[in-house]
Amino acid sequence: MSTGTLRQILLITDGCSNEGREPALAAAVAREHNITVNVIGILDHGELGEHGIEEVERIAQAGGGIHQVVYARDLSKTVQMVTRQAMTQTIQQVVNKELTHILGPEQMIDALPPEKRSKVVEVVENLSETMALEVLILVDTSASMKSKIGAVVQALRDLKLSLGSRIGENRFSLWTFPGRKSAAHKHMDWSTDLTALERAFSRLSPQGTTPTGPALEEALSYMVGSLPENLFADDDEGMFTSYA
Amino acid sequence: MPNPPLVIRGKWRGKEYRVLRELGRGTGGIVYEVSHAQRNFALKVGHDSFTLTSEINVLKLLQKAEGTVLGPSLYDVDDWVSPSGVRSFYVMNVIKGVPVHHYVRNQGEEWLPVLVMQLLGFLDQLHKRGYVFGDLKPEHLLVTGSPPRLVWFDAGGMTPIGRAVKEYTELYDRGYWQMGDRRANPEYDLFSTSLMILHMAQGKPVTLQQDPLTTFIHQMERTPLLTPYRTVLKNAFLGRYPSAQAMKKDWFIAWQKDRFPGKTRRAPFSQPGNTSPSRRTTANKPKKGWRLLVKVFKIILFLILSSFLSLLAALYLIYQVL
Repeated sequence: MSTGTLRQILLITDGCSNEGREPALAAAVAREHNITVNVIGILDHGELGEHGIEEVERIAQAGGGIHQVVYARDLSKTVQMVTRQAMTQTIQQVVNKELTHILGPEQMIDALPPEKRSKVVEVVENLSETMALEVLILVDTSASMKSKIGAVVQALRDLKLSLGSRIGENRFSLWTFPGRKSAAHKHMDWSTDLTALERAFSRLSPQGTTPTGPALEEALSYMVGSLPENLFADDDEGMFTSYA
Repeated sequence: MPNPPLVIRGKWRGKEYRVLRELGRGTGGIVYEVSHAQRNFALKVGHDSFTLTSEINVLKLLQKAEGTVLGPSLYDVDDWVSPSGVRSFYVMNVIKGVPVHHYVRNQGEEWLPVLVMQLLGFLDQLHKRGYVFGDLKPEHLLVTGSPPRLVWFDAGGMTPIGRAVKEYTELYDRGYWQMGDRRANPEYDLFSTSLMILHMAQGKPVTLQQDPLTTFIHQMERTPLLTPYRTVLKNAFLGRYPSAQAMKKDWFIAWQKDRFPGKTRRAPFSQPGNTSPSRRTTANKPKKGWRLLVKVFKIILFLILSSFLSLLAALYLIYQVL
């Protein structure tokens, strides 16, 4: 079980989607593939508004992930925190499922007596420290993001640092939207490094609309396309299936 | 929670705690002062049971720690069926004290070096047990009693050595300062310690500007209180101390030199070198009379050797001639 891989999509945006289908759709599909979708909304003079905040929440809920709405100055801390919380949350969900399986309904981590719970917590912490992690980073680069790209680069550099301090392996893929010809543009294939980060963002000039839904769909099909085949064989075990 | 609850009753062990007042809101929960069996305790209700349990696991491990630095001691662990659902809580002793930076600022400049020694002793113990403090900052350290002693609380950041630090505050975080990663090791805590000492001595936290090392040294040089400790602080900042014990040793020597400036020479501000810092500064300097004796002995030895050599040369020459 410890050789499994956790998969996440991290969406960073400062606005409401205004093109294509609703983003929560793609997020719900991601969840069906055991891919968690986390969403971070940036507040500073963006177009997030009430609708945007609602959408951020809705995407994360559909994607089984965590959402946070923050100012750009808090982005670094938030990005790494959300990613790590989502990891433990996913593992907790799997453990809960197993517990109900073994001990009957309503037997979740929270319902265990404190002594037993403390052992389960240790196991979950071990897993979230040692399991491999794949994060597809999807950054909104529509016109309003121009002033925040610096903070995004800083936050992603910090994410790499935080995850790099774990025992488990990390792989990243970097995408931005809107793309020139398609909804989203891939800057970087799966890699343990994020060196392409600086390069990708230095050439970028934020412009255009916010096709969050289509961008998520594209990123998702790339991610699902690179999944190992056996993932589809047994739905129940999917999340922890190793590359063996 | 807008109003503190009146009574918190444990679901598993059945103990009842009467809530007196809210003590504070920390990372991961709210702490109340409560009374139970004619005694007062601090009770922490967690925001989520997972994080709180993880904290309890560390606290349990540290229950048998010895030393001058006090920490929370666990009294009870249980769940509370609150109006808004089941919440985990733990009960510990009430810790009363002044946050360490306020103490130093208002009444304890003299005590700063001693409190640092206490802290380093505690950190060394913690590290030997396989954990780092992680989220080390003045807000997590109190000064209590007279004579003052250091007390720590908030185990939320405590992380097994070798893993990624669980919780941190950017101002004291090695990663944020671009001086390394967030892998838990003794050097991580000692880095935070160096910035925390600077904060305590200056009365305000140091913010990163441009180059990290330049910022640090510049701020240190502006703080006369820290003049004797510059070398030690710089070594800690650069991650040169493999253990809290090594830093404590150097810190003590610096303290000693500051107290008795006539007896020993002040170590010059050391340049980055490859020897371990503690070895460099702890090398014993012989006393003055002893040094003179050694000098005389050296001269005599030289004279004997040279006369012996010249005698040999003379004998050789005579032999050649004959």
